[in-house]
Amino acid sequence: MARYYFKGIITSKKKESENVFSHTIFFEDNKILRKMKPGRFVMIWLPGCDEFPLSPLFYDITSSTMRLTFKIVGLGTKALASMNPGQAIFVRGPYGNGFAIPPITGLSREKPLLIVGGGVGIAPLLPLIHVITKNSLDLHVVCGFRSILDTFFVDEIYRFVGENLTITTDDGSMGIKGTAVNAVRELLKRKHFSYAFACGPEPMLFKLHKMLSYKGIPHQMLLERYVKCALGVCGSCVIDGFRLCKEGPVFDNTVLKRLSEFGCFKRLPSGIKEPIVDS
Amino acid sequence: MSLRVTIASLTLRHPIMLASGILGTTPSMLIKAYKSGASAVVTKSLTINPRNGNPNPVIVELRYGLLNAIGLANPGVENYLAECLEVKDDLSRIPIVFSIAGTKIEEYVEIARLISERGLGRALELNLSCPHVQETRLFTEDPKLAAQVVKSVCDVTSLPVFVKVGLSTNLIDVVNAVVKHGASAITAINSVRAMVIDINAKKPVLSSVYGGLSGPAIKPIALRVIYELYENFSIPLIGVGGITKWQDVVEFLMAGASAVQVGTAVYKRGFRVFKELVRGLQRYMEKEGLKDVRDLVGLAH
Repeated sequence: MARYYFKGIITSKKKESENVFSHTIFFEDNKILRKMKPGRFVMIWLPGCDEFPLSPLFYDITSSTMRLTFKIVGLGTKALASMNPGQAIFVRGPYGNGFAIPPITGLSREKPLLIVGGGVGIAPLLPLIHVITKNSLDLHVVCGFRSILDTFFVDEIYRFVGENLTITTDDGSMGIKGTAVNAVRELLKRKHFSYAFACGPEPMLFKLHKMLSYKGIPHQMLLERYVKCALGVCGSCVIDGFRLCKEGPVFDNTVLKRLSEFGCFKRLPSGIKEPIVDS
Repeated sequence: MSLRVTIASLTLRHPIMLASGILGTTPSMLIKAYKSGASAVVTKSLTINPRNGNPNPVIVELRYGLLNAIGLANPGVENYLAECLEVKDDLSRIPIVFSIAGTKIEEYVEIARLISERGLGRALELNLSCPHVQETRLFTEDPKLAAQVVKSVCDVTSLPVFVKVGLSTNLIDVVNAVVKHGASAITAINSVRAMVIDINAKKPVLSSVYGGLSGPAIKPIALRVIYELYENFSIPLIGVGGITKWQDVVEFLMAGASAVQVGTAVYKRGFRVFKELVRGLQRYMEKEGLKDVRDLVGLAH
C-alpha cells in the first residue's frame, strides 16, 4: 500500500487562550511517534487547504497519541482550529534535529538548568521540561506572555517545577510585569545556570542569546522559519548556510553566534530576505 | 589523472555539478554546495518578479525519488542578485550557472541582461521545461519558440547559454532549433510530470495535483535522452536525472554527457554526495587505466 502520510484522528480539542488551541491526535499506526524527540517537528496536511510545520508538545507511544498546540497565524492553523474530534488530519515526519539532551544528563542538582519560553514557543518546550525533570535536575522555567488572557500551560509547568516557575506578562496582569528577557536578566544575577534552552519570538531569543553568551552559559534555541519541503531540498528555510529542517530547528550557541541572519532576517515564501521586526 | 572538463567557456575541476532547484534559493547554500565538492552550482530558476510558488504540500517522498511542485518559488532576479552582491567575493571564486525561467521571451531576455551586467555568473541555463509551470513548458514543446528565446537571449549576453530540456515528443526538433540559434550546451532532462494520490486522504497530495518526478526513477529515461542527443548533435551535453552513485556518473559520461548535475541525491545522501561521486569516478578511472575523464565521454557509442 502506498502511504505518504500517517492518518491521525482528533480525539479532543481545547481552547488554551484567545488564539491558541490544542488538539490531541490518535494514530492507528504509531510509527511516527517512535521517532519523536523534544524539538523535532511534523508537517500537518489538511487536504485541499494547507500543509505546515508544528512541534508537538506531547507524544506517547502507549496511547498512540500526539498533542499539538498552535496559534492561529494563517489559513492552515485557522482551519485546524476549526476542526473537531472525529475529524482526520494527515501527518508526515518527524523532521529536524530536536534538542540535544545528552550533554546535561550527568549534571547534578547543584548545577541548575534554565528553560525560557515566549508565547506559543512554550509548547515545544513541554516535552523537554518533562524529560529533564524526570532526571530530577534543578530546573528553572521562565514563561513570557503578553497578558493574562494569553497564558496557557501555567498549571502544567507548575506541576513539574513548582516555585521554580517564573511567569511574566507585558502588562503585569499575571506574574512579573515585563518580558521573559527581563526576568532572566534578574535571575542570572542570583543564580548560575549551567545550561539553557529557549523557544519563542526571535527578537526574544536573540536578546537571550547575547545575554547567555556574555555570561558564558551554553544554550540551545529552537528557531522558526518558513518550511516548504521539510526534506532539505527546497531551501526555503535556510538561515545563512544552515537548513532549519535538517541542521535545525534547534541550534546551539556555537552555531547561533555564526548566524548573521539570526534575530535580523527571515525569508518570505519566495525566498526574499525580510527584516525581523521586534513588536 | 585529469578530471577537468570544459563546457563552452566553462572549465570545471570535475564533471559533477549541483542541479538547479536544489537549495539554490540562497547564495549561502550555493557556497556550501561548492565547498562540499560540487564543481559548479546552478541557481534556483530566477524569474523577473518574485514568486511564492505553489501552496503546500509541494513535495512527496517516494521510494525511488521525489515528486515536487515547488512552482518556481524564487525571490526574483533583482532581489537574488542584490543578495549575491553581498557575498560577491566568495561567489566570484565559484562557477555559478544562473538558471532563468519566464513566461515570455522578453522576460528571459531581461533576466539574462541583468545577470550579465552584474558580472556574477559564468553561464546561463534557460529552464524551458519546468514540468509544473504551464507557461514554461510551452517553450519546450515548440521548436520555433525555443529557438526564438535562445536567439534573443544570446543577443544580449556574452555568457554561454545552456538550454535545459525536458521530455517531449519533439525533443530532437527542439534541440536542433536551439543549437542552430546559439545554445552552447544542452542540459537534459528536467523532472518528469507525474502525480501521487494518498489513498487515506483520497486526494492527490500536491496542491497543484501534478509535479515533477526526479531521482533514480527517471535515470534510465535521462540516460536514454543523453545517448540519443549524443548520436544526433555535437554540442556539449550535461546529464541530469537520478544520478545517485558514481556508477551513474560513469554511465552518463559514456552515454555522451560532458558533465552531470546532481539534485535529488543531495536529499538522500547529504552534501557529502559530491565528494563520494568524485572519489568513485577517480577509482574507476584508476582501475580502467584512464588518464583523462574526457576519454569516457561517449565511450558507449
